[in-house]
Amino acid sequence: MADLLHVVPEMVLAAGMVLVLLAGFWKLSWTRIWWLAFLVLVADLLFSADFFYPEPQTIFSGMLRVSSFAAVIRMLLIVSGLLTMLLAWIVPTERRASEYYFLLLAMVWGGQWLTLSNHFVSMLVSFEILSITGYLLVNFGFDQRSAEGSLKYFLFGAAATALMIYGASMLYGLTGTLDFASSRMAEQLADADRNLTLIAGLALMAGFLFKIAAAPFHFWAPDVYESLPWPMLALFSTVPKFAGLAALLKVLLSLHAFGLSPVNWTIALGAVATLTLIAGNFAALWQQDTRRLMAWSSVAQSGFMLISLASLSATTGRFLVFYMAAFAAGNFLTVHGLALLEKRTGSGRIDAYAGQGMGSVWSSVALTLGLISLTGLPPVVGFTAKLFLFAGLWEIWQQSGAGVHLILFVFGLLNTVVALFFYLKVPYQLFLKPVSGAIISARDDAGSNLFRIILVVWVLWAFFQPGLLMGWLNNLNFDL
Amino acid sequence: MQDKLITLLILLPLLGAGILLIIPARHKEIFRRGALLVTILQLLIALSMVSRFQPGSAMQLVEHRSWINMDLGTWGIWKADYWVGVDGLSLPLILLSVVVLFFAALAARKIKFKQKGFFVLFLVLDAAVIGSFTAQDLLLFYLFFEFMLLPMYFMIGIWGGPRREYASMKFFLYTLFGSILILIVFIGLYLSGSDPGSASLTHTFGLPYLQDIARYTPGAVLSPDTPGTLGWFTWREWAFLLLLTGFAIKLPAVPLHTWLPDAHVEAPTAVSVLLAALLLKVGGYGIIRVAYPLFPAEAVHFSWLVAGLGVVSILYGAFNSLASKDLKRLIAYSSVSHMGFVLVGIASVTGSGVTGAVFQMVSHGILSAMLFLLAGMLEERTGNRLIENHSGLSSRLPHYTLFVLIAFFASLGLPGFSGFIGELFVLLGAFTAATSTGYVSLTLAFAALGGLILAAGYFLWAIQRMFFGPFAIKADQVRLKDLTFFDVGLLLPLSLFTLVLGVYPQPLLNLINGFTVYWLQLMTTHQP
Repeated sequence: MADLLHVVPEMVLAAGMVLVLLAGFWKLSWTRIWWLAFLVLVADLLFSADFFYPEPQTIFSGMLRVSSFAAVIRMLLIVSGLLTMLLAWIVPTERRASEYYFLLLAMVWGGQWLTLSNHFVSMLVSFEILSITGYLLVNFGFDQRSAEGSLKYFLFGAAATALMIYGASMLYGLTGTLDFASSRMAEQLADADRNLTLIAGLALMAGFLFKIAAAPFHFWAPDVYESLPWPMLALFSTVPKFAGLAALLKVLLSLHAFGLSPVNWTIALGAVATLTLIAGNFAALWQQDTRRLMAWSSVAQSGFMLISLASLSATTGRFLVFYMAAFAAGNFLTVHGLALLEKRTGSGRIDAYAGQGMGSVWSSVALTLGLISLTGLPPVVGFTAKLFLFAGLWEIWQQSGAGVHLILFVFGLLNTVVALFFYLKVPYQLFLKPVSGAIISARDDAGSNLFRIILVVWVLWAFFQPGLLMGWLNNLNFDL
Repeated sequence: MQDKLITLLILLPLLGAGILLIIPARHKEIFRRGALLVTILQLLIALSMVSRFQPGSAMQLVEHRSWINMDLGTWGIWKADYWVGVDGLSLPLILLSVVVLFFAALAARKIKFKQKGFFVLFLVLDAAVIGSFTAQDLLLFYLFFEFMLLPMYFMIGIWGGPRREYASMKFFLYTLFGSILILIVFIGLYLSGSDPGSASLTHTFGLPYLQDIARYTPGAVLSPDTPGTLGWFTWREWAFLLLLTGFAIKLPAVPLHTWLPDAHVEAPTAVSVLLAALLLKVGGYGIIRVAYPLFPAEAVHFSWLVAGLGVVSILYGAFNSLASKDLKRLIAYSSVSHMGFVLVGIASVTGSGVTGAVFQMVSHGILSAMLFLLAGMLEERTGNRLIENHSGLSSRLPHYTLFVLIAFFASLGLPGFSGFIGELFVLLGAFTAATSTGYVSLTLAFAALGGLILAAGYFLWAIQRMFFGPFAIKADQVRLKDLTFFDVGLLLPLSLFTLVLGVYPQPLLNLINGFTVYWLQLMTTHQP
């Protein structure tokens, strides 16, 4: 029973989810349900603020493992959920509040479990929570477009999950245990057959790659993103990504078995990261639709995060968390700006925004800052995140001498030039192109301004004082 | 002791930009006046910096504060500092910057729309330029270096000519690509060296630390004792080549120059002035300040390449100038040609060569500002800049012609003007090197000399075609009016500067020489 104390945030969130469902049953108004869901998440955040473990602990007979790493990721997930809630307030798109916010909370909930999981069984269960809520959320528009997106997502997800289960069972066959953090797993893997381990590991990775929209399991992203309302798009590009990456890091570290594994997982991950960067960046170049652009951007960003993951070390794990925090801010800032633009001009095409930057200057400037942060230029936190990521990669290369790190280093940095090209398309239209019709101006409401100011202050502050966040992350025990 | 003058010089424009942001856009005139006020204050600060500067080689007016400091356990401590200072290299360029910024702000009264945005970006660019010239920490330098991109991108892209979108995008992609190459090396240097005076391993971006070979961790990738190679070159040679490429894009050197003519032709006058007079200098400054002292042996090893790039730029730029139909394009290519001399001077690694290179940067800063102002004035009067559309202008625009003659003759290296001194010293350095160390071969030195003749050719030919002969103009809108009082106010001080520097270059040469002596020491003590 004492183990329950470690998952208080999850229990709070679960109780809150039931309340939100009940609120729909009682036919509370949209605003009230929104507030209820928002407060549930706030409570979740408050409760989770107390769980930074000096020593990681395994609980529920090896099913879950609580650690500082999981605690930080959990906070990131909850904050992403909160920002999504705020976006949903600013750009309300969905009237069926109760089910909608229930699913939103469920997604965060699934992510939290996935981050904690320490055993293939608990991992698969939480992975399915995340997936099933995803399938439902994509279909929530109940029109043809969202049906198409949802079906695609579902088929891809089902196949990826199947592969993942297949991989897990093979690993069970190879090692005789489903507890992937156990020493037995590492010992058995050291003597395992190389090809079998490779196939099992790759199959296992498939599910995660699908979740974080990484190549070659990224094809669902543009169609799904296109059918999503903006707040959900932001949620889809953050929560499953963060939880998936965190779990992937844990799983791969155990597959890596302190370097005893017969397979060089760094090379496998490096190949996936390279592929993802190419797919995301180059496909994004041709996009005209803002949602599809964000989808490919999300793929490309997964590539950058995979680069950092490929070094399979705790310190780069810290940089990965920093990168996630930077990416989340840039992503929400961008999504917010694009959503307002779409509301203002009534179009989701980039070329429809020609000359519209002056219609709402602050909104356009904030959007530009968000895009610059995603690109990784100073003076915003995206630059610092990329700097840490690549500096970490260099350090790993210098220590290990493995050429794969150098290749990833150079290739990743050069990809930021490509990224600049498509991220800059939006400010280019906004500010540089002559306006075709009339400039549609709009005054933003207080909520919008507040949302923007918080994120802008964060991206600037974390650029000028990265030592505070990074120092805090470094003081945590990142033993997974 | 912490000096705060440089910080003031950097913060002032940023503060100004912040204040301008709050003022409603309808007060059109306030923005330019605000920017002007900032540049005037900066001029005063720069003068007080000069008065407090002690001749010599040391870095002065230094402010050094800790900025980022993170303990990464077994990876050591990562830190970056806010570290600024000036020496005989930075100070002349700072002076050039504040002067050119002032004149650019004056000339920017031709900006007729969106003044608020323009002058806010102008001030941000101002801070970034000053910051680049003073930063002593590589990360800080890189930030300022990158920070010049966005304002310039928007300044060309919004206020530029018909093909502004293409030109601004090209500018951005080229320079960002270059700065990524620079960043690669900076990260490598950062993790190969360490900060003295701390117990545990401390990685640092401090440029003066990294110039000292003893500070490199043995076995680190960019440590001088590491024999590791990739392909034909050692790691350090690769690093030098990456830095050189990055800065050569900015300079620009042929064949990495193609963004420059487009950017110049499309940019409005004030922006062209900033681009040619200041942004190109950051490229040259980077090579002198960063690339050479950090990789002295590699730099000398590749001096044939640097000199070769320089000579190719001189000749290729000159030939393109000869063939240019557009006056602004002619001036843009002449910039490529003149910046080639900077490369040759650096490559010689001699006292006169390097002093000449820095002098040439200052001189070209003044002259290119003047040339682009003149091109802008012609466009105001006849609505186009095509050389073939103008003839015999001297009969109608005598004062304008006078200033064109001054600027052209000064640029082609007529004795008595600053251009002559810079190129003379560069060539002296090149021939010294050719006869002693061989860093610049004799052929290349003679070829650079040939650039002078070509420069005379394209400038004189342009004068002959446009200003002499029977008066004729093919233009849509002709408002032929000789220089206004305001125009003279822009051009006269610049002419005086180039004349004074040409007749009495000694103070500036002394200032630069203090740095050159120190620089040569750095270069020679670290030779294997």
